[in-house]
Amino acid sequence: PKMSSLTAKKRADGRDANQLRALSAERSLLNRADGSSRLVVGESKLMVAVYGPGTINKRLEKMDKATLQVTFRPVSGFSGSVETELESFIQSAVEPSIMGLLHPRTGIQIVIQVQHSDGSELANAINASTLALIDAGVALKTQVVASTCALLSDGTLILDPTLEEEASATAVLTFAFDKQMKGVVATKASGYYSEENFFRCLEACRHSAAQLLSFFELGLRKKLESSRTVTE
Amino acid sequence: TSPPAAATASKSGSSSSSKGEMTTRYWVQNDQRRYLPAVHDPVIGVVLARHSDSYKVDIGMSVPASLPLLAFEGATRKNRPNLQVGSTVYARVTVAHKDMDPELTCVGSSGRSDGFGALNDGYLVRCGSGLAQHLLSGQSAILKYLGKMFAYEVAIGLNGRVWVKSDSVKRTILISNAILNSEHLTAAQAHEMAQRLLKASD
Repeated sequence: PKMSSLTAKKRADGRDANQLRALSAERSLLNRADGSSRLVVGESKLMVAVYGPGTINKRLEKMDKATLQVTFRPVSGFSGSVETELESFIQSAVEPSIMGLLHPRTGIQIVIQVQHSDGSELANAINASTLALIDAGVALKTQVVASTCALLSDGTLILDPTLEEEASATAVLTFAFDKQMKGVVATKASGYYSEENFFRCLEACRHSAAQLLSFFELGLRKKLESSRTVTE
Repeated sequence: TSPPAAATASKSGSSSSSKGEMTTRYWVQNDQRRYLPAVHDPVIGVVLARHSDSYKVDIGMSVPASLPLLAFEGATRKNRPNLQVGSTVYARVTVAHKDMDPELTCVGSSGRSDGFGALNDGYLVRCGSGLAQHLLSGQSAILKYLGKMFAYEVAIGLNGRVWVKSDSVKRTILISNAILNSEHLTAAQAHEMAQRLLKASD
């Protein structure tokens, strides 16, 4: 009988199917932005700057809450329809976590700059945006954390795919969760997948997003502890 | 004391509390670049325009704040202040509601000027809200230490602006650099840093 084992076959970079790449996060690296972050996941690198809550074009302002604008800049070339779609997705995933009602008639701008692309770009962009919003001190109801997985033709599910793995996969799914990890904040899926596989991916991503969230919280706590001991 | 379990933080920072007679206040202390005004905050602004009954002042918010012409000590309809466009002013926030434009006053809570008003000459630098709060708390070692070395004037705005004035340009630059550098240093480290700056400038 043929068994699809999740952990036996190693991937091209030596990882197990459910293993994430080494991740490092940096914050407050841009001294002109209100908040900024940099996320390096394997070979994927991107940087996010947050400006706001601040002035916004009168045409775009909302009377009762802040307006979120997302700009996604690819590693090279001009922004096209692909980037516009990503911007719209990231905005809908992140906007509900911001307490926009506290800042009516203002604008909050998130600018994402990809420095090197090697898969799981959308999830990395959402995670780095959350970190940059926290760095800027924007009032947040919750934190949005995302994770990507790819489905291979033999039914194997791999987490945090590289660009090559995404290209050869049957389907690539990205899920974004909030801090409580109960429901799903946003989903982006492309390719062919069964309903059963969709939910397998969802649970696998929920698990890895929870791990990412604890890692980010650990980083935040460490930074606060180190700055507090100095001022006392 | 820690805040009640039902409360959730909307910013990342360290929680603080202050116990009064009737109430206990809890808040999250954090360091931000962008200023969000609160009533009674002392702020430093730059005059952008003069209208018939108020000045428009930039305090780093998304909209300029308005400072009424009569909100100065001893101001009457006949005797109005003479702030020029582009001048620096030290004021107190009186209105900071999310649906309204912010408003300022240059009169202290006692009715006298209490140090508010025009800041002439001097040099304005930007800093984060954390450093501004620390400087105003009275626990800052660097301000006292600099005061032992030089005679200088300083005004600190909670909107992340520090104004410094002293006898010479070189000294003003040294003082503002020392203040900005002291943000993450202990008192002993701040003393040492200030000494190094002083030696380097001679």
